[in-house]
Amino acid sequence: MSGTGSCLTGPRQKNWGIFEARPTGVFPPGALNSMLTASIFALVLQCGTTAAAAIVAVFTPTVGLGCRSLGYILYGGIALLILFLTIVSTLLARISETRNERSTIVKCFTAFIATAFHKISHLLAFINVTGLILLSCFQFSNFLDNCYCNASVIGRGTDSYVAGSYEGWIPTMRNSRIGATILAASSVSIYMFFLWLISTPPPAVDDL
Amino acid sequence: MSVGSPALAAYSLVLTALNARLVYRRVQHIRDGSRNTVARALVSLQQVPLELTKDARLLAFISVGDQWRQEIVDRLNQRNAWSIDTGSSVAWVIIAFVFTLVNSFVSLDKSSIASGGHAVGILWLWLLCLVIGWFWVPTFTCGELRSAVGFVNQKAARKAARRIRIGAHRVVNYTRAKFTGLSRRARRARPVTDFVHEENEKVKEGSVQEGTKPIGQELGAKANPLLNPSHNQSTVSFQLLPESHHGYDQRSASADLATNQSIVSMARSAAGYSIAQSSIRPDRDRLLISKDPFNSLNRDEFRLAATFNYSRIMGYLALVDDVLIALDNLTNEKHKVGLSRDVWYRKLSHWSSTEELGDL
Repeated sequence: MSGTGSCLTGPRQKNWGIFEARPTGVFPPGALNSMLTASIFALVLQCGTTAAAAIVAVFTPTVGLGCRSLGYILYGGIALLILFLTIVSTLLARISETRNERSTIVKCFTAFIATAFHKISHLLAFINVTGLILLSCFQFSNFLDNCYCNASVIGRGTDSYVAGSYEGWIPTMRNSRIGATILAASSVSIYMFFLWLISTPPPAVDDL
Repeated sequence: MSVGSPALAAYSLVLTALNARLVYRRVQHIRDGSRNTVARALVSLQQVPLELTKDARLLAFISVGDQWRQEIVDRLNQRNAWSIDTGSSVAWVIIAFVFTLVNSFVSLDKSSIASGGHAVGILWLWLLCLVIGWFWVPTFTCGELRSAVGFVNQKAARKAARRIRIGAHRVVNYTRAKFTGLSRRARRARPVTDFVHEENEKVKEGSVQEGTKPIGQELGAKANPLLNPSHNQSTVSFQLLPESHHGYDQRSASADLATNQSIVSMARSAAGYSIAQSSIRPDRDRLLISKDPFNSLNRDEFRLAATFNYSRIMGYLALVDDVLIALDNLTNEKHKVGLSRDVWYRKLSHWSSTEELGDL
């Protein structure tokens, strides 16, 4: 709404007058670097945990893509999509804000896209929250404990079956779970270690 | 939003930490006693949507007083402290998670096909990271900011009642930004005014020094004449401050008040009063104003939770850049002048009373 309706009158034009000292670069220095770094580590955290959860679900007999694993993957995928849309939206909004009045096409177009992406990402986030909570509830209430899900029909198609006993599958399950735990732990620890590194305490107040 | 996209929340968290680090690192290039305090103030402003006003060079005068400094330091310490409650909650969650994992491995053959809590536990693991992470990264909620500002504002008002304000507030950004933390464009950006030329004009400036006003009246005025280029010169108020050891401190008293007032208005508007406020008074005499929600492209900027810091990064970093350039110029000027207060104040009054640099 704000993008299409008010993009011409919209974000205030900076007119510094005689104090014109502000470099008119589109992105403030350091912004893009920070965003890149932050998104990489967010990616590591999200992918690591989601992939690990999906691996556990996939390698529990019947092996294959089932309701649960698909749910996890969808959840992680949508979360990453939201991240992507938000970053693009931030960049475009900044471009639109810093353009001068004359380039109306660029200004309005970027504003429109930014607003649209922003709204889409909010909608997706709402869907994702609902999905995650439902998925967790269903799983613990054994709602997903039915033929369709247990046979991993989604991944295996006509080849699907319900495993009666786990006899031959124990080593596979154990190995996959160990792998998944290591994956999750390593991604979490990479993220936390990095965060610990950069969150340095402020220097003591000094007087020159 | 945070649950909907953990990636986004994690992104915000890292971004907040990176911003704080950036500010602390950049500010180390400034040769001014107030640099770390300014950095703290800037870091604490990450969670409110801000924009510098047109006359934002005033911000160069942030040389913040003792109360403000102490207050911020206290609050930062408060935030960073792990209490027994939080520690035990986190420990409890970790223990529960470990039990889930152990259970999952021990009862491999007996576990139901639903793969139990293992997968779900890992799926929610990001939450633990974020909870711990927000303890490491200092955040200021709007309420904290407001209470700190309210406290300091009282003190500053009391202090300012005893002091006289220099009306001349304007600083012209006269030299290149020398410190390395800035971009090349920023360094190139600054035209240079001729120092000798200004010294020669001192005689003329003397005429501005009549028409003094105490600070109360100054603030009560509808529009600050100093900030209004079209205003008549004769209304410019200027008075030399009382003697003291540090000329710089004296100057900062007035800046204190102005800063705190503007931060108060900022915090208020962030809390939702902005529309009412701005319809009553023009923004002219504020250093920081809250962004206009109706004209912003990104509505998330107005959500005050720390998770939404991602949407404020552009405005925030631009603000940091402006403030640091201004502060650096001010500091360079101070050193160049050699701390002679008379000269310094005369220069200020000169800048604020003439518009000869209008073509810059």
